[in-house]
Amino acid sequence: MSERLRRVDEFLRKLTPPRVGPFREDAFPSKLHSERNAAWLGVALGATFAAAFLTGWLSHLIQRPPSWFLWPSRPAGLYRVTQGIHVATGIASIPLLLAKLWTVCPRLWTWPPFRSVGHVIERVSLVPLVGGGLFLLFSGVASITRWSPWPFSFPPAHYAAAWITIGALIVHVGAKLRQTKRALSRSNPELAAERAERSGRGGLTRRGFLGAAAAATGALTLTTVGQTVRPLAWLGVLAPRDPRVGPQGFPVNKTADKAGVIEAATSSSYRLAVEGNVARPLSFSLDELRALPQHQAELPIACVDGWSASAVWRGVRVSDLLAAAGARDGAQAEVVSLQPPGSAYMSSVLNRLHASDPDTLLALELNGAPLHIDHGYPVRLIGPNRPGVMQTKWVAKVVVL
Amino acid sequence: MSEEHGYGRLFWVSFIVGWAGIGFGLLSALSHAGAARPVALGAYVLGALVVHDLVLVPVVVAFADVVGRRLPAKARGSLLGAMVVSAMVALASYPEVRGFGRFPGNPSLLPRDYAAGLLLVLFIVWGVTAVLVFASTRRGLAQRKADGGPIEGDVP
Repeated sequence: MSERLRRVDEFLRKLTPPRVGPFREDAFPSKLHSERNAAWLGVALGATFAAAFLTGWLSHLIQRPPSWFLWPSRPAGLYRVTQGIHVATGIASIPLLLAKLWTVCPRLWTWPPFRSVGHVIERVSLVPLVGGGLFLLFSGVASITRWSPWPFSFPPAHYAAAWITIGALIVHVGAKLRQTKRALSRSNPELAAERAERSGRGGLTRRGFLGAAAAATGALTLTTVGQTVRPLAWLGVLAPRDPRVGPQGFPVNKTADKAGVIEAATSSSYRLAVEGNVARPLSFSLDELRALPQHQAELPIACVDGWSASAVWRGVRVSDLLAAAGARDGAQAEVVSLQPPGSAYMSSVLNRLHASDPDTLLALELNGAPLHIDHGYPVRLIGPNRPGVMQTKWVAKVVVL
Repeated sequence: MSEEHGYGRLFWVSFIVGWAGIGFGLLSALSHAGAARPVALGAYVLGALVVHDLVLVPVVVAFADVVGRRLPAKARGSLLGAMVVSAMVALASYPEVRGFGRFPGNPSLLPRDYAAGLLLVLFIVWGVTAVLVFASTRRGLAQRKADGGPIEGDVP
């Protein structure tokens, strides 16, 4: 019996640590799996993921505001910047994450897999970190091209995955901060070896690999950021949108056909209602709206997909309509579309700051011409510092809350 | 790469804060289960991990090993660097090149020829690489000539 146990022990000793496949000590001979490269890429990813998380969370708060959150209507282009940063940092993260994961891939095959309770926590937390990070970038890139190869709704899935990933990132930073500082310190012996490397016969150097990841990040950023930075629009050969292309020189997210509003929007019996918590409910035909005092404002449409473009809008001030209907000062209002009930983004709420802003309009014209039906004809909401999905098109009524 | 297994106070604080964030994310998915479909979402997150670690990485490691050895030694670093950039840009732009989200009713969505855009980026990447390889080869030749050493052949 004892002889049999001894043989089992011996057998296990031979297996542990395993010496096959990726468990071999020489399985990953490349010097590119370096601590310093992992640290540099980690710092870069920490910055891009933090920026994408904060701007994404902000976008979520603006669209589903809790009671403690009041999003201002000024500066008019702030959301354009924050959401532009969200998408740009997400795109920039793709090469950085791929390079980082490749750099640390030998760690996956560490043996023994766990050494202490802390090590278990650290490694288990890598599952949501790596899986979540890859999912966020994949789903984000697919979503900005309007591709949805999944059975769930993008916003709640992306949002939940973002919290899971950022939580796991916090654990990872806590586990690796000391090691990262040491790796990047000038006293790290890897630094001298890195400096001595020359490109050529030895293949890609450590700095060359970092440079390639940086070049890919730069190339993707330069060729996509033109969808929101208009002077760079000509460079946007890989941007899902061109801010100059669309009806009236302006991109469209949801068309009138897809929204199912063509008949209602072009009907001669169209009327706009102002109702709800008002002293005098009002109703206007299109001609009556045109006869009201008109106001003009240059404002951007800033899409959650990261593209944005400015235009000159002309129409009736929402604050004038609310005053005419006898709404109380500081009232909020819900702007409701002609879209069939239950449609996504068929209404949006104007908080008190947006409802009273003099540039928040029910627009009838875009760049001096009547709105194209895909831009919301006959009437659309346009206001400063709002996500595009909250600039409700084909407006049927304004309900004062 | 060296390992470090000392876990101090910072780690334990980050563990509590981080897992609170993870818990909030899980709760968010579960409380919007009809839209977020937590089981499917979990499958996608784990699937991304598995596909990356067990498919993509082994393919890249094998490719770099097989192709890397066959590249001309003097230009190996630059060529591998160009391959890294090309693969990353191609992967990130794949949905656009294939036009998965495109639909005819909205010509303002994916308005460009993205295959041409990708080719343009790759052309620039490989053009710059060719210039770098040419310049470094000339430098090497000039150096060896100045040193009086051999200028032909490739010493392994």
